[in-house]
Amino acid sequence: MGSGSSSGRQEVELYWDYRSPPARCVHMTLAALGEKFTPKPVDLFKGEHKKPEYLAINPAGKVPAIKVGNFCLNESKAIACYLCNRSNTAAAKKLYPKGAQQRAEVDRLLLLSGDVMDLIQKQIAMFTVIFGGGQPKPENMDEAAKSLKMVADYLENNNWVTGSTMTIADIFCSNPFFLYDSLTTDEQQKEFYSHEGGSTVKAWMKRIRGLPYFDDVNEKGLEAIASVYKTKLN
Amino acid sequence: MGSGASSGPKESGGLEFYWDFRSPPSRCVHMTLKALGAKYDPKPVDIFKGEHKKPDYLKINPAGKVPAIKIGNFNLNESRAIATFLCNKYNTAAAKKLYPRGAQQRAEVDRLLLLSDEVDGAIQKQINLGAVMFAGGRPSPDQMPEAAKSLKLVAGYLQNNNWVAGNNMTIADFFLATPFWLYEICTSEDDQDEFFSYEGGSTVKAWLKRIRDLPYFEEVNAKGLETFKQIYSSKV
Repeated sequence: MGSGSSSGRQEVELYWDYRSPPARCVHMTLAALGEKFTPKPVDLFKGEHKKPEYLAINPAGKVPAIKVGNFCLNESKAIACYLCNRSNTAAAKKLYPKGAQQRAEVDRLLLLSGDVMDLIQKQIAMFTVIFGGGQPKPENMDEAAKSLKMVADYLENNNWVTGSTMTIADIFCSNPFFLYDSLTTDEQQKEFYSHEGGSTVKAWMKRIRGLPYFDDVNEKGLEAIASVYKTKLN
Repeated sequence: MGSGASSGPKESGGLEFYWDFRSPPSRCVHMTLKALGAKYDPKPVDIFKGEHKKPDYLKINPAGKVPAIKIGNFNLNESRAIATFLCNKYNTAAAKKLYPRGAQQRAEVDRLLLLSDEVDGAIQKQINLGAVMFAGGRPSPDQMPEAAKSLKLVAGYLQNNNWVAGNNMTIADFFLATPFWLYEICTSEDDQDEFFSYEGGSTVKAWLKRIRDLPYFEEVNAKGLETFKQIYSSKV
């Protein structure tokens, strides 16, 4: 996973479940930074996130969390920003720029990624399907597809959501769309991406999927969620 | 009422602040501007008159919401992104306290800013503000125990501190306090007595008082909260 961490710095312990979308965003960030870390898997399906040892790390009982020395942090977006803030590398400065305006662009998009996920979930309803005996809502596709224009408006003719450089905003904003693709059929995706902004978003997703660490971080997790989700539908 | 109040374009360094005095996220940014002592050119946007949906405003913020800011060609929306931007931009001692520069301290504030969604979510389970004000909805008084989870959550961060991130007031205090101001205007005094009797309640009350005692608090919040209170109580 690269050796970018400066010597003498404490190593990051990453507590995560490979299936959890926000956990994979933090994992992507670590990979993009080339930051070494100690993996501490927490199996959500076995309830390990609610055990006392884990609650001592993250009282909120969710993944991901990190621990650096005595410092524990939860909330995936806060973690990603922290990892970039603490690193003085060129990669970190590109992933989360220091200049006030450029940083604000990323911060605004990190907040937008929550809206993107909310829209996607209106159709795929991941939590209710997997944990609540619910069903997806294909009739909400038009609503879900508003996410495409939302992101495409930021992409415009650029490669990345903030312009010409990839930032953590790309990691967080694309995450919901990769989830969407793993939980829907090819026909549904064809229809989804035919909405306004769809082709722009698809090209951007291809760029992200082409990153060397993308499969390492996401492939197994997306497959695993898809497998559970599809079992629940039948 | 503080040195940072409204000024013309020249003195404001070109910072234009677009907001409605009633909008909760607008008031969080307004508190930040006051705390920073920042000069700005005030551009009120009346959301009750639909001014946030007019073409002129959509050029500033295509999302059609308040608040937004504009500096030269740079437009920014999302209240938390605006608050952090303002602190990042100003290199003053105040800014460095409101949004610390050190990675760990900053992370604490970032995490708390994100937590404000959860706090608001809990409070809204009882007061249902948006639905009551604009969509014929009703409050859910039986949800008070759910709403009160917000008290334990925030009190956990306050513990022996005056402010949620520790010894210094930060922008996280403004954003986390906001749902509790809304709770107070949407409920009776009896309800509030009961609410604040839940675990964490007295700690949160003391912290809210600390914020209410800030010199600019009334100027930023009083009229907006009073207006919401009148509308909400007329609907229920």
